[in-house]
Amino acid sequence: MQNLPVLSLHGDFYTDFSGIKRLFEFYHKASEYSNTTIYLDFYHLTWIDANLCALLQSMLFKLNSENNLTFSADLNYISEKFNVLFKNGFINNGNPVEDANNSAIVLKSFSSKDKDAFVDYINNDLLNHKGMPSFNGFTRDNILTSLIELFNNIDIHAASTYPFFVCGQYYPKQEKVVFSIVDLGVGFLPPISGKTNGEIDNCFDSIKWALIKRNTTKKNAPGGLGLTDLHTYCQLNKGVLQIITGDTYWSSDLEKTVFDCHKFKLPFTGSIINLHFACN
Amino acid sequence: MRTIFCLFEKKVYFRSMNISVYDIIQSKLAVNQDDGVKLFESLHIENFSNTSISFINIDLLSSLFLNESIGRLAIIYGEKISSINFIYPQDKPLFKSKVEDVIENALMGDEYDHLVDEAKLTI
Repeated sequence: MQNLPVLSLHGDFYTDFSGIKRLFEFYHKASEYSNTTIYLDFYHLTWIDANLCALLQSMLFKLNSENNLTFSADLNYISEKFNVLFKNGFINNGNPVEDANNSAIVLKSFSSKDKDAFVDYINNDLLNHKGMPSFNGFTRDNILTSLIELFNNIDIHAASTYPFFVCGQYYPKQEKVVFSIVDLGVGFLPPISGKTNGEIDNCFDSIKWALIKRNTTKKNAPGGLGLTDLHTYCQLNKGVLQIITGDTYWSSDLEKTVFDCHKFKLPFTGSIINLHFACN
Repeated sequence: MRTIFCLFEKKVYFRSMNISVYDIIQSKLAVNQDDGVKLFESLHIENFSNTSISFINIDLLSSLFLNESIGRLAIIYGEKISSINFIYPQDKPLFKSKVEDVIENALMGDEYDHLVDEAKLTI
């Protein structure tokens, strides 16, 4: 460990602009290295939303694939202070940790071709989770289908051979479940810019475009119905939909503020969809 | 060999009178592009008003799947497709509106979008 480069995860990481921005910064620092093992310092971490493990894991995967980096950390310390990272499978040392409170929705990665496994996961791990609202059949089908549309979108438009990553967490005190989907593709802008013959030329406009039903139901159109229906669900059920792609962070709760979106100076790749479900 | 091939073609033609999506894609999940193409390639329709397409036994239906099957059919045959009798599972009220959305978009095409965009500019 003596000669290993050390990168620190410092402070709080919530599922918001600040938390995601600092994870992006972590990625860019790590990407300066190659062919080595980076020691991840969790001693200065005070909180991490466990669903963000989908993003963190996608970063480690990309760094491993492209920079030949591996990672080490003080697992005893993490086990003591951030046990949830074992419960949700982010850290797997061969000794499964029981999730007695059943608060984690396990971290998984899927190939964009593996629809059956993805549907099973969404049905069993997410929609049947104790923290999720009790849906009627119509709403349940609608959410499941919307998530399948996102899955299809990754398959067709992300232009990536990498898997995508999903993870969720139930927060009983805040009475919500947050679910994250992260892909390492090209993001929203290139396919939407192509579809609109260059009329859409920035990430914020590409997000707004993908949220309009008339656009996304067309043949060969990026987006599918998924985002439109998830946005509507969140509006009607006190939920929040966040979309991060390229340099842009958009959240449905920004619609009530003076901000349209936030911008990252150091963007990541692909896209991140975070869904905040309000419990009953 | 040729005779056998013709018989096979005929068999497909007769089956197309009442088409089961489930039988064609062999899955309850009508969601991905490949299955949409599979359905489209199975649709040898000659008489639209005598044709039923059934979604019975299908659990999930995506717009991507529909665009690749029913949407393509609508682009080729236009208004004729409105004569097809679509059969939906009773417990899936969403399916009907999804099929209608895809047909509507396919029939209206980009010209309609252009008109809508122009109308928006005048508001």
